[in-house]
Amino acid sequence: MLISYNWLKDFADIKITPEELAERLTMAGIEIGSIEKLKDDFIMDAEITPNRPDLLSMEGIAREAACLTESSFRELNAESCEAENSGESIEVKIQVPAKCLRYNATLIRDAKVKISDEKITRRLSTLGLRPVNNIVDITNYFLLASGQPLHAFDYDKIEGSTVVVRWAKKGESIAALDSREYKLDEDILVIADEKKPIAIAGIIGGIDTEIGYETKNVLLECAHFDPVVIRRAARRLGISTDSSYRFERGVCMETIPAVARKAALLIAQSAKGSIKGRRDIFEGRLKERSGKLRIDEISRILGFKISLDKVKRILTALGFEVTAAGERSLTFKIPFFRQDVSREIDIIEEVARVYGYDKMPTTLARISPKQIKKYRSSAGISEFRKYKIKKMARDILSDRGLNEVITYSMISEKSLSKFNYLPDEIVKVQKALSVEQEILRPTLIPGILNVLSWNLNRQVEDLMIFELGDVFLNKGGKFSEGAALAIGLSGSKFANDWRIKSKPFDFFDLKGIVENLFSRLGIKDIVFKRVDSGIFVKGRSAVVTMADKKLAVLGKVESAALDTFDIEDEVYAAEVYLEEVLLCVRLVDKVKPIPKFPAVTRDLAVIVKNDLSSSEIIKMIKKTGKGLIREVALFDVYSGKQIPTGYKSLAYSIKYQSEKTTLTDPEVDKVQTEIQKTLVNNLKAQMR
Amino acid sequence: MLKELKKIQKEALSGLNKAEVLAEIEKIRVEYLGRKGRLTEILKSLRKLPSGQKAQVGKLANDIKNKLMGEIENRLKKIESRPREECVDITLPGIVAAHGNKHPVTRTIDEICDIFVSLGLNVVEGPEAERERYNFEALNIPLEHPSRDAFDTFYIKDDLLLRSHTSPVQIRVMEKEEPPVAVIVPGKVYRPDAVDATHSFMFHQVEGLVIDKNITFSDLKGTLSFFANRMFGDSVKVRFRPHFFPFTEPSADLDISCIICGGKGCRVCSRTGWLEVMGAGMVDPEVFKAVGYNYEKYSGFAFGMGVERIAMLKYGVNDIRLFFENDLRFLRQWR
Repeated sequence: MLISYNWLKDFADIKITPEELAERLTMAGIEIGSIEKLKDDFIMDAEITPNRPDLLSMEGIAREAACLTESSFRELNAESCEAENSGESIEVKIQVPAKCLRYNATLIRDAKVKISDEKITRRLSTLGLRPVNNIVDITNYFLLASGQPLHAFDYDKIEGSTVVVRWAKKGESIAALDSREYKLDEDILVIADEKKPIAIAGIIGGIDTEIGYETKNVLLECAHFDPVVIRRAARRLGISTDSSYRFERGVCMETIPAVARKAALLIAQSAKGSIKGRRDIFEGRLKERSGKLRIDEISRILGFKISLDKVKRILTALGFEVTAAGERSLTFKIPFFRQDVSREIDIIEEVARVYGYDKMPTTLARISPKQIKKYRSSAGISEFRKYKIKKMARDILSDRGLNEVITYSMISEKSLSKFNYLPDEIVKVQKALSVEQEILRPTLIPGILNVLSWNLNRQVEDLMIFELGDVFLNKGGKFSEGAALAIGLSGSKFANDWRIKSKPFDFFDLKGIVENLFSRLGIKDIVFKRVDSGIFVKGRSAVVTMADKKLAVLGKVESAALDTFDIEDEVYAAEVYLEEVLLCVRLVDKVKPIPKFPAVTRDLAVIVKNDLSSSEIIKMIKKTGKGLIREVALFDVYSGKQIPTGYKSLAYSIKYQSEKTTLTDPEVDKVQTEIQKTLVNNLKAQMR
Repeated sequence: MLKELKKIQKEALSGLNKAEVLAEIEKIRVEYLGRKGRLTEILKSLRKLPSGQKAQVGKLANDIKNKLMGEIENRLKKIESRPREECVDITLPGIVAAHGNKHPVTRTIDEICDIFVSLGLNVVEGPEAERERYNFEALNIPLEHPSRDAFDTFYIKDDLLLRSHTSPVQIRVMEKEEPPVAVIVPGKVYRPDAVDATHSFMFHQVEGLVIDKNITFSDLKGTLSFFANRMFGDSVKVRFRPHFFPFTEPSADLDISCIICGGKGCRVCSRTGWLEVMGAGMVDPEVFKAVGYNYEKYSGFAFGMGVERIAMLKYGVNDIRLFFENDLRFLRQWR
């Protein structure tokens, strides 16, 4: 909201410079974003928080300024003003009294509409309002001065000379003063005459009853409308006016007759008309509100002591009336315009704000050690452990050379077209901003592919990336959210080693990263099983399990899936089901003793059918080894010359070691021979 | 003659000591011990000497010859035992392991959380898909009031929405645990804002909550000032400015002196010299009521900050979209 420094001076004897005032207001919660000099005035741009509708006026800001600078303050309506119903009768029918608690109408006859006088014109344009004519300008002038919206109708254009406050009827519409046509609905409140709406209540007037130069008789409306009704209507119609802005936040009912009287007088004066009738319908009640403030509560919440005297001064300057002062407490009346104040804490805030946050002490919070055992998730692990493991996973992968990415949780339907999700498994976002963000991602892989595509299209190559984030799914009609981790590789490794040729990433680079991650998280007995599913190339994808729990999938991404993302290069991707993994992590392992006896290593090369997996051979070797085998390591895979087609040669190095004795050659030979026999007999292997 | 021999010995030995390469030693050997070497010549001429001198000169000459041969041998050994030169171009690049890194947003979250963890707060996370009660009502945000505008969000279905701030986790923590609590909550939040250089429909926040007996606004000030100085540097000035949030009272915005211009006023701080970095306040009694905490007995403060905004200020990033484009040329700058 714009503030005129000179206008404030109508209300308060401010003796400090505009810059000083801006600083004081800012430090009391009315943030002044900028000050601009405009002729002999200074215009400040203030941010008014939604809890303070009383500050949406020059009077309200001036009251605050007077309090902060300890200067005197003059109210707009100094003389109290009783509502009256007098003179010519004005027909006002309120059909929805709960939503229009007060309606004040004043009839001014024989008005001459003309251009406003210079002072009003200047003040309005200074604050960004376009002057129209003396009648309309005076309503706007009082809106800015007091915060109370007013509206003037051409009385002769109100059919039946009757004003009705009612819900709009279905199908009704109104041509408004902003030259737009608004289609109304049954929950929009209107001011109507006998036939049709003549204004959208509290928001904007209709063009049919507009004040023009031919207008003679003016009906001045000064009312109160329900904030929720106004807010809903304004949102529905996509309109925000100075009037609706104030009604949404709440205007003060008490001062309505006084503002109406002042405005009507000024109109009559300026337009040389005469006030012929007044009507005030008040369905609400003005409740005197009072409050109590304990001095001990101030120090309990703020952390320092302040004298009751000081508190009293602050509250009085803000318009509160202290009615009783005890030794340790105060009681006071709350002014009507401070609808935001009702509780003790509201008063403490007022005291703190005016006293100045900068003058309060600073201390470090004493954190109780008692809270350390708290915060366990439903799965039984502590939130802290969960956070720590996620952090570890990020560290492990970034240490391994991967770059972390963060993509949007919302993705397009198209990006999922090659994934096998059922339509009702997918979680949709209502009123999505665009088709690119319609779906809450059930997997992180589309995001990974998008990032690879973005970079490849910009000649950024050799990419190793990962993302850690939540995924969303409807499982059997039940919504679920959980953490996942995805990895994507594209391009070559060794790109920065000029001694060796670079080599494209393959399945085993990806598998190695996944194995690294699991081993460093202390997850040992994982099994990789071949799986043909989803977006991966058949035969080049695997699922990682541990005790039948599915922990991850990985593989080469099918080119059809890559097409959706405009990727021509090969991509290897993995997704880790972090929620499952979190439960398998073992962060601490007891150390094992260093072996006391030397190890003996023997090599073994076998020729087997292509479809026999290496893991099966290793399993067989270990099983036959009678606990003497410490390690079996594959060191060569070969097919080609000397090997029949459909077969492959695998070479292993077997490390024998006993915990009890030094193994002799004959002992080792014996086991090795047995292993060879078993492999030949059970796996139809040929020895090389 | 004797004098001549001593001179030869001296010159030969000093020359030998200075010799650094094999060729120099060979040159010295030839000069003194070669077929026409200076010492060889003397030895050859011994015959011509009177017998009285012969024995004396002969002995000295032979001694010098032996000594010189021994020294040459030593010198050769010494030079040969030196590491041999292998002539690599040491300006060729070293083989650096491809380094990865964490996303700047994660990195900033870690920085923030680490500071609060050092003060004794616990990291807690909550779901991104939230119930209305946690995102709004329990936080004293009325359904239809302008104060809700700042927290507009995406709905998934009835009573399920994407949280528009991390504050719902405050409610979850308080519902589950009795006081005292002290938590720090990082996470993603969503708001249906049109995307531009400073707005994104998804971003990250870090939220904090400390509740116990005798937690005061002064504690809020001290604790958050400590954070601000750790995060932005000792020389940064901190100020607290009254503000409004539905779930705290009194509420404050924390400003730091502009880290771009040092407080003189620039484009980034809109010439005010100050940058707003977080909102904070004493937990509102309504929030206590919603979770069943006793307000007369306990008090506490809460705070929240936007991670991208802090990262943008700290690292001079001028467009929030850069964080989610994930161009590796941007991301790799965080080493």
